Formats: sequence, C-alpha cells, structure tokens
Amino acid sequence: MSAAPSLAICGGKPRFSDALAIGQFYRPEWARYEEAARDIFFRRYYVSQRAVGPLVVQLQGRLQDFLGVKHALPVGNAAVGFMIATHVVGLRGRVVVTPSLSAEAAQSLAWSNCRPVLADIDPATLQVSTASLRSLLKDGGIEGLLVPHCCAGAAPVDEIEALASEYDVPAYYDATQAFGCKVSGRSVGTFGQAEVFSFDATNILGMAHGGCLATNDDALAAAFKAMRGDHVVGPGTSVQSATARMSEIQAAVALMMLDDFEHNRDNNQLQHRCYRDRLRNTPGIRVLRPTGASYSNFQNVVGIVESEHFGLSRDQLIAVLRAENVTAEPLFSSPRAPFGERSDVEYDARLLQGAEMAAQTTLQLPIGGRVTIEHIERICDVINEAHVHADFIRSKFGR
Amino acid sequence: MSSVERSWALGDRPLFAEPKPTCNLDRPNIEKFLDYSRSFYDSGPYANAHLCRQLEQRLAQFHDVKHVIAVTSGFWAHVLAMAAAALPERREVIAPAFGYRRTDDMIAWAGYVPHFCDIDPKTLSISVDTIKPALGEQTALILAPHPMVNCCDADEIEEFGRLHGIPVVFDSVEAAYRKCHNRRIGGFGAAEAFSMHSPKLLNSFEGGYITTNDGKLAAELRRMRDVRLAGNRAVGRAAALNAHLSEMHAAMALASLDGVEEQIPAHRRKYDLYAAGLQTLEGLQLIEHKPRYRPDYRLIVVSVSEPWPLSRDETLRLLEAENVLARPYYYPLTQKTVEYPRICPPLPVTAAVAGSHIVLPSGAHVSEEDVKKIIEVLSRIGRKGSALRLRRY
Repeated sequence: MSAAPSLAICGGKPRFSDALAIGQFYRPEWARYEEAARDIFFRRYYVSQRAVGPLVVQLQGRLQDFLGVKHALPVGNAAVGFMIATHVVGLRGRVVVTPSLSAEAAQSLAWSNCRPVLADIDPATLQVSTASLRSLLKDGGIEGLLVPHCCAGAAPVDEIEALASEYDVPAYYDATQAFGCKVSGRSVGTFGQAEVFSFDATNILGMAHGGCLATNDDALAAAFKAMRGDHVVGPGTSVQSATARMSEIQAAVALMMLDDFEHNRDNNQLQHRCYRDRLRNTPGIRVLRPTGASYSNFQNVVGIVESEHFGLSRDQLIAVLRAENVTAEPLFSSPRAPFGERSDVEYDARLLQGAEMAAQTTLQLPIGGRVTIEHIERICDVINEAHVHADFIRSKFGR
Repeated sequence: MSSVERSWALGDRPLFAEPKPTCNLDRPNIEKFLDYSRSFYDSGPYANAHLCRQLEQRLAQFHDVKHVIAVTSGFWAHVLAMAAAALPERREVIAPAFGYRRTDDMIAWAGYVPHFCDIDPKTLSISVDTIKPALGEQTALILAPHPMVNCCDADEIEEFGRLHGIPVVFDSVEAAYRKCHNRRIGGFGAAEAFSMHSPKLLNSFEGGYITTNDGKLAAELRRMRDVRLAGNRAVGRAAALNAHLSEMHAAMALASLDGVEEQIPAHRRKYDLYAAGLQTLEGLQLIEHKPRYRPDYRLIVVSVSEPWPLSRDETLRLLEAENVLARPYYYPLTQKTVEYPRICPPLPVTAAVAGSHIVLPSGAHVSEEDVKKIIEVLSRIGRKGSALRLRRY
C-alpha cells in the first residue's frame, strides 16, 4: 500500500506522551474538595460515630432520591458491598453469572462459598442471553442469578425478573457500570432483590472509592445495614458483620459527583458520539451503542473489531494502541476471566459462543474526565491508520 | 434513656451538650492533608497508588518492620492476615472471648472456627497459659490481641507458636505506638494487624494495615488485596478481596502519622488528670499505663469493684445520660449468638472480669476541663450511687 506509517508500533514516536488509561476519572474541582475537607476537619467527625456521619446520611438520602429507590446504603468498599449482598440474599450454592461480571462481584461468590455457573451473553447487546439463562434454570439446581448491567447499558431486566419468579430464585445485579442508567424511565438500582454500585475511578460516580447497596426491600436493607457494621452491638443475637463503613470524605466526594452527574454524563455522551463519528467509515470496527437502557451514562466505549474487514485482529489493534500509550482492553479476555484461576467455575464452552466471540472481538477505549475530544480524534486517527496500513503492520507481527 | 436516669444529677439537661466519646478522632494538620491530596488529585490513580506506597514505607519505619500492606479497614486487615497465615488444612483459630466485639466474625470470614480461650486476670490478655487448654490438632492459628492498656507477653506467645508450629497473628489495633520487650509493636509473630479507623491512634478516616517481616507472606497479602492479581483462585479460605486503601484515606493517614508524636503529651496530661482524680474514688481503679511498654496514654480503662455502689453496666447507663459515652471493656464474645460455629469452653477468668471494666472518654473531643467534669460526675455517682439505684424504680 503506502509508505511505512508513522505509528509507534512501526517505530514512530508515540502519539501520547502520558499513558491514557481506561476509567472515568472524574473529580470535583479542587476548591470544592478543599472546602469539603475543611468542613469535615472542623466538625471532627470522620466516619461513623455510634451512627453514621452527617454527610453519609445526606448521601444516602440523595442517592435514594436520585435512583428512586427506598434504600441506597453507602458502603466504604464496593467489594465488601457485594459480599454483604451475596451473604444477605442467602446464596451458598450455584449462582448464575456472566463473563462480564466485575471482579468485585465475582469475588463475593468465593466468600460465600458459591459456585459460579456461566451463562452466555448476547453478542449483539453484550448483555446476558436470556435463552441461556432459561436453559440453565431449566436444568435445575440454581440458587440465584447475579447479573451485570454491561457497557453503560442495562441487562434485560423484565425477562430476568420473569425468569427469576418463574423458577423462584432471587436475582440481584452487578450495577458497577450502570449508575444513572434507566430502563423505560426506571433507574437501575430498583431492579431485582438488590443492586450493587461501585464508586471507584472506572465509574461515572467515581473517586469516592466505595459504593452503595440499593434495594426496595426493607428486610434486606435492615440486614445490609447490620452487616455494614456501623452499630455497636452488645450481647444478644448478632449478624456476621462485614465492616464497610463509608467515611465522611468519601461521602463528601460522592455528593459532589452526584451534583456533577448530568454534566459528566453529557460529556461522556459527547465523547461517545465523537468515537462513533470518527470511526463510522472505518471498515471492520463498530462502536457499540449502550444497549438495554433508555437512558445511559455512556461511561464505557466498546468497539467490536471484525478482523477480516479491519485487516488486524483485535489483539493486534490493542498492541498498536498500546504502542501509542493508549490503554485499550478487551471487555473480558476469556469467558471465565473474572474468575481467574478458580477451578470450580461451571461452564459448557459449546454454550458460550456469544461470550467467546465477545472475548475475541471487543475493545474498550478511554472515555471520561482525563480524555478530551482532541485525544479521541488522535486515537481514532491511529485506528484509521492501523486499518489503512494493516498489511504492513501484520507483517510486523510476522503473519 | 429513661426520664428517671435523666433527672438524677443535673436536672433536665445532660452535663455535656455534645457526646464525649472514647474515640481518639485525631485531627491532623489540614494543610498537610491537602498537600498530600494534591499529589493524586489531577493525575494519579485514586486508590492503592503512590500515597499508599509512601504510607507503607513510613509505617514500616514507624514499626521497624520490613513489610506493610495497607488495606481498606482494620477488620479486613485481620481477615486477610489470618487467611494468609493460618495452616490451611486445619479448622480452628484460638482467640480470647474477652476481646473486640467482631473478632469471631473476622475469624469466620477468614474461613476458620473461633475457639475461645481465657485471659490472664492481671494483664486482661491472652497468655501462653490460657492458650494451652485450647490448643489441639485442629489449631490453625493463634490470634493474640494486645489489651487496651499495656501488652500481652508477645515474646512468649511468639515462642510458644514457634514451638508448636502454629502461626501467631497479633491484633495490635490499640498497641500501634507501644513497645514490647524493647521491640516496636509490628514485628511480632507471623503478622500484626492494625486499624486506622478514626477512633484509633492514627486516623485515616477509615483504613487498616498489616505488618510482617515475612517476605513470602507479604507477597501473598499483596496478591490477596488485589482481586485482579489474585484472580480469586480459592473458595472461602484465602479468597481475594479488593481491599485497596483509597489515596484520600492514605493522604489522611500520612498527615496523621506526621503529627503522631504531638498527640502523646496531650494524652498524657489527660491520663494524669484521670489518675489523680480517680485516686479519691473508692471502687474505681485505673489500669496504669506502664512506661516500659512505651504507652501513648490514649486509653483510660478503670475496673469497677466493691465498694463502688453500682454495677459496671448501671454506671455506664448513668454516664450515658450525661452524654459521657464510656464503653464496656468488654462484653465477652460468648454472650452473643451468631450464625456460624464456634467453640466456647467455660472461661472462668473471662466470666469473672467481664462485667467490671470501663473505658472512659478521651481523645480529641475531650478537653482537660471535660476530664475534670467526668471525674466530678463519677464522684457524685460514687457518693449517691445506691440511692440512685433505688430512684430508678
């Protein structure tokens, strides 16, 4: 084709001097953070004081209003939030999950001695395949469903709830990627028995580095609270605590991020659109719109790479981008990826074709607070050049 | 609280308008906290990054230990330390029933069965003699908490563990500043677990850490706190936990550590006031901080006995009515009912001392003036006590 491209993988200078990471990385303006910190230092209440601190209480109310849910209980650590949810929902056996489950949710199963059973995903939406769910439930022996809302969209909640009630198993959700998303106007956070959010840097309500447990069920909420451990208990019956108090500074940051939600969400949408526009005419790569949600937070950009049209495999494209200092990642590297080396994951590879395909073809790209439109233009230029010079680059990979 | 209790001493208002807790609630220098915060704010990761590494190095110096692993809270520091250090083929963890109210929960999360042991009546802590009756073929680990005042015999317990091939993890939450046998707390046993929850000596808002001189154990703990590294390879025992400390909390911990030495004289002054005041109150005995343990003088523990006119719990209720949030030390863990198996042999010393100790308010919300008022309240309770008990009905 043309002369050697200037891409870093071909020996050119990387287009980004500092690494551009995956993750939302939004944060409040410094002056607001400083003011919040000074207020907390003035009050001298830093975390629960025989009760939760004032900002944690305020955050709980704001989250409940925002999500339209009866209980939204802040926790200081999202992974422990998942442990609490799994423990309280009462699962101790086989639990159906998908390969796009967050690592925190996956790990909670181990702590409750649950065995993950992998359901397939729908390759068109990347959400759980309800046909696969039904067939696993039909086979019997399933104790519950732990379903992620994937890629800034939402799982097919109506079908899942119908299946859960038909087979009389609890369903709860990994909502780490879906804060602020809605299904037909109803917020994620209100579905199933409970939903767990994470406020770590990868998510739109980030930086606070905790999460929250959302449920409309009073009894579950009471049990969540008791396990979270902000109450001092004396003698008597006591639940097994899993301490996860949120601190006042975490709550302060989460409150500010909640104030900024619409602004950051709109910024995500703008960036998402920029990726779609810039890659619209590039053969073999398609930027997925968030699926299943009537309103999305646009916190993830996921592309699907069809190598026969693009000219490079998804992994080759990742290598091209990494050479430019751009972090690009598969949604998951294999269907059992969230479970690492765990040996007790149940799955039938023949029934995970959607997941297998997603493992081969998905590509997450940076979006959020540390990304600009100019960055996205540069990233898309790299992808376009990679396509144009695919033959040359492939020869670099030796095939 | 009932109106009867309310009206006993000072009319319709509590003595203190604001609650006076036993919590330290250290307020570090705000400018330092902000300076540390700035270093992650614009470009750094928000958790488990360079401020956490800096904190781990500083804590390693503070405790004179090779490795520090910073985690999300003291609770999970204990769970991870026990899960990593215990003998995996065995079932039981020995711990005193006279201890932190969530000790058995932590042991259960680590994947083991709590086997309670008694305490030494002099030190109020676990000792080799109290461990021995609980030791058996299923002993996987000894969890040895340092008491609120002074230290358990860490040397002897460490040696006992070594002799029997049983790892020892020390719960050093209240002992962070201390020395034992002239060694800094932090380097004993297989590992030691600490909390930086705001009531403790160091305030990271919320947080915890594990210290160890064992490089292999440290590497295992670093894997366990990062679910992406550990890939949750095990079920139950030794499962991984995404237990990262946030950079905000690390910033707070660093600022708190910068000012730790300045805390000690203030604690000392209040301790001395308590010591002088309590001397005149018959039936209340202050547990002395012994200089050889390099005390921080932060915790004020008294025992309640004859001729004090009221029980420990009655005294606590009256104090609470005045907004003096003194705490029991402790309710033994055997007094609560839980949903997981535990081994609860008879523990005579625990039973004998369980209802007799109080932790009195101290820390940043309690001034020297407040200490004087608290002693005055106690002295009134001492004088009028039996009458108060009658008036409650």
